[in-house]
Amino acid sequence: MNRNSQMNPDAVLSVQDVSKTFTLHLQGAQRLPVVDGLTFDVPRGACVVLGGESGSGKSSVMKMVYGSYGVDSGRILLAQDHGVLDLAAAQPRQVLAARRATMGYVSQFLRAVPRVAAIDVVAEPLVELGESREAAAERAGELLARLSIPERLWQLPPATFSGGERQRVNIARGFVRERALLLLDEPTASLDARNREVVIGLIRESLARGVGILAIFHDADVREAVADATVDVQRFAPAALVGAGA
Amino acid sequence: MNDEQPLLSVAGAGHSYGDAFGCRDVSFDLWPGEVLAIVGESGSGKSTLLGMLSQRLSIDEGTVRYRRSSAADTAELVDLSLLSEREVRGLWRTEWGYVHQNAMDGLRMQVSAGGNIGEPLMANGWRHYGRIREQAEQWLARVEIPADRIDDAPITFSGGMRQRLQIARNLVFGPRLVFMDEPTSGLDVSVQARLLDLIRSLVADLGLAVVIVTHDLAVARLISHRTLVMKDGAVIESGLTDRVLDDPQAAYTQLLVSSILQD
Repeated sequence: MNRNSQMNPDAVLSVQDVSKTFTLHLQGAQRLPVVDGLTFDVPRGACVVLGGESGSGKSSVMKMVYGSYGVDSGRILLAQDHGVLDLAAAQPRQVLAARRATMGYVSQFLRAVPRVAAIDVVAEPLVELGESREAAAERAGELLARLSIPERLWQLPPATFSGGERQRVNIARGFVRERALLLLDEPTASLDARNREVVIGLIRESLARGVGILAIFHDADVREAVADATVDVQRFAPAALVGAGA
Repeated sequence: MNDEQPLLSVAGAGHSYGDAFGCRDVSFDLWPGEVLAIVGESGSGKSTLLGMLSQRLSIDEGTVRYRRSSAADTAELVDLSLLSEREVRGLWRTEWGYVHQNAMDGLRMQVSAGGNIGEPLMANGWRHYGRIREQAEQWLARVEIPADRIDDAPITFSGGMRQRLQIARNLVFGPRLVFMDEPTSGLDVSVQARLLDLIRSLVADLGLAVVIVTHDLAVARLISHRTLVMKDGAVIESGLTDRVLDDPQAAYTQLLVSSILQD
């Protein structure tokens, strides 16, 4: 399947004319439009930030790209080593493979099996890739140290950590393995200034190596430090909502 | 390994109890390394589906095809309903595991833990006592049962330990496909978490394909890649587990998801 012609070769991600509406069956099939005609590219080595007020659908867009939300129409093209995949139409198995090989995701909240040690949570993406547990744990440890998670916590499950510590474990997990596309959903929301700087450093290093990043940043200073372009999600709000002044 | 062909391929399959179908029109493919969760409430047909897939119940319509290890290179799938009883028994001995909800159904309660793990090896032709015991010791460690319990019968074990022993007994001979029927229900929440973590890491390490039936969406979220939602014997929604749970389309799935306790 060669669909390269439909995608700018410089882009790692190309969102084209995507629409999404939630239908809430428990609320009398109420329809909740999120975006309509959403279109943007994420070039390699560039950080594209999703902008717009809270509630404008930024996180929803992120989840559509990652595949946790479906889309009603349009295309979400991802450049992979062996060709272009339309995530909007892909089989579950293809999405899973793309997550392993091509796109990483750092959400606001860490979702991990309760009993797993922090170091294993971080190392897991490497182990899944077939790296030895030792090598994976070493790389995971480096990142945890860089994000100032004290070594005495590494063997404990993150469920027992503070919000900020959990967030940093999540960031370490997201950066432990380099992938062509990185999705960051408010990764710095609960960090202090020092750790924010560390995350900015990690982002810049990834960009320099050619990773494309799609991000939502709450902090204006982080945004200014790394953003190459901003996509205003509100501009793609469905007409009905704009008309109603919502 | 042939990655293009699934290990298990189900097409329009159903099982009927007399003139009523317990489940019908079920279709999905399963690949090595994938965990598929079948979720639904009691009476939804999920246990019937598991019974049919595992050849305990007849396939009354459609097909269930499986790629035997001998066919690994040729990628040839065999229609399970065409296999003889003897061939199906062979699959259970060498390629398939089944973890029951109640460990008493899957273990020999009066036989030692080491014996429970050794039996499937002996069924596969292992004769050297020392080597069997060595394997049993390794598997006890792997499922986190203290080595000094090797000669104790599972009747003396806690619920969580029994379930871990059942998993060891089902994995020791190196199966490729494992069926699990509510393996964590009936256990305390903390014991459940430990067991789920163990299943998850074993599945990843061994590259197993797993079909797990659960009524608990949190269990599906934690260990499965894909989920089928069943209601009244039919699959009403299926897909990536996170998509089914985060962006459910069917009214019934939205209802199920909205009744999960948030973590």
